[in-house]
Amino acid sequence: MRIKIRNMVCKTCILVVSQIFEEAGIKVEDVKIGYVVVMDKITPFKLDSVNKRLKKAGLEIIDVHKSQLINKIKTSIEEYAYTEGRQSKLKLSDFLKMKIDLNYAYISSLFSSDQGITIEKYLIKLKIERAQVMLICDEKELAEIAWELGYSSVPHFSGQFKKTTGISPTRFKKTIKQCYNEI
Amino acid sequence: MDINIKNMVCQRCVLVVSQIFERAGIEVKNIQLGKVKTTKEVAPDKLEQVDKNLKELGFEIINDSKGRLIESIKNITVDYVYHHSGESKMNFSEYLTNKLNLDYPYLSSLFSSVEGTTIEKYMISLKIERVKELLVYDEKTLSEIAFEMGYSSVAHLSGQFKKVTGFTTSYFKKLGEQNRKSINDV
Repeated sequence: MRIKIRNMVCKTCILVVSQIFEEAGIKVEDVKIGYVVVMDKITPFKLDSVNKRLKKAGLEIIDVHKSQLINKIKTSIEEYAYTEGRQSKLKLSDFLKMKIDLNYAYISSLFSSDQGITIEKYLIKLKIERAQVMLICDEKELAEIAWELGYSSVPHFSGQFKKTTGISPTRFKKTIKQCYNEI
Repeated sequence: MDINIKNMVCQRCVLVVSQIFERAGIEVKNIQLGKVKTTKEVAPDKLEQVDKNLKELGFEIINDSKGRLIESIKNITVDYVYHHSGESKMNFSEYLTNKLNLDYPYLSSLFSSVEGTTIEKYMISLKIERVKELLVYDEKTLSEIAFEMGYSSVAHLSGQFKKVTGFTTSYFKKLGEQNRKSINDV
């Protein structure tokens, strides 16, 4: 298993990194500038504790950073979908760039390669899920829901809803009501 | 007491050097790249022992004034390449002159005569190592890297990269991290 490490620049870094791994009881096969090769799989918990020690020396495991970054992207998209998205003029890409301070192309390719879904599709998924909840719980009109989720028009909203769930919003509402009545 | 140390380049070096001093029972007041300040005078025999321990890890105590000056030039260059970014990069010769309060032609000829390479070339190799690092992290685009490292254009960076490493930046990215060098070897 190869672990990438940030900020390694010299031989002393190699020494420090191998010390930290050994102290944590991890057998190290090879250490080079920028990465460590370990023999066995390491549990995330252990990796996290190693990472903490590395951070004290100004180093950092890159994959841990990556997963944190993915989480940050997700929460930012959620924030955008639930609050900012309401009719705001800000594009999601600009919003993410503002929140995360990294190039959008990088954020986007990192996200899709890790999650198997693009940022845009993830946003749509979140919005439609939200719409489903609204349709079930609230007595809101379609127009209201569409407006609240930042759609330009009801047809746009309905179309996307149907495309994602395979059923139109009105139909969805009816089926849910029917279910309730039967109960 | 001020002690100058050769080959320190990063925070890990600072850490390891301070460990060596602590283990020898010497109280360190302040430590930065290339310089250790101890609270008390250190006996010569103790210093010799420390020097031996340092040498095992590739460090060394510098005793002559020329060596000290060259090491400071190196430390300032490393700091400049790693910790200054974008627009803040002013003309390096001016920067160095300001920092050391000595005139650039003198520093430059001293450096070249001892190191066998010029300050500019030393700086370029450091920059290229840093670029390699940033390329491998795969978080920034080449144009962002070029800007951060103070290159006027992507073309300038790619040209210099190819000239020094023999690879294009995109090919290097594919090769991955195994081609990085220790910056105390550049």
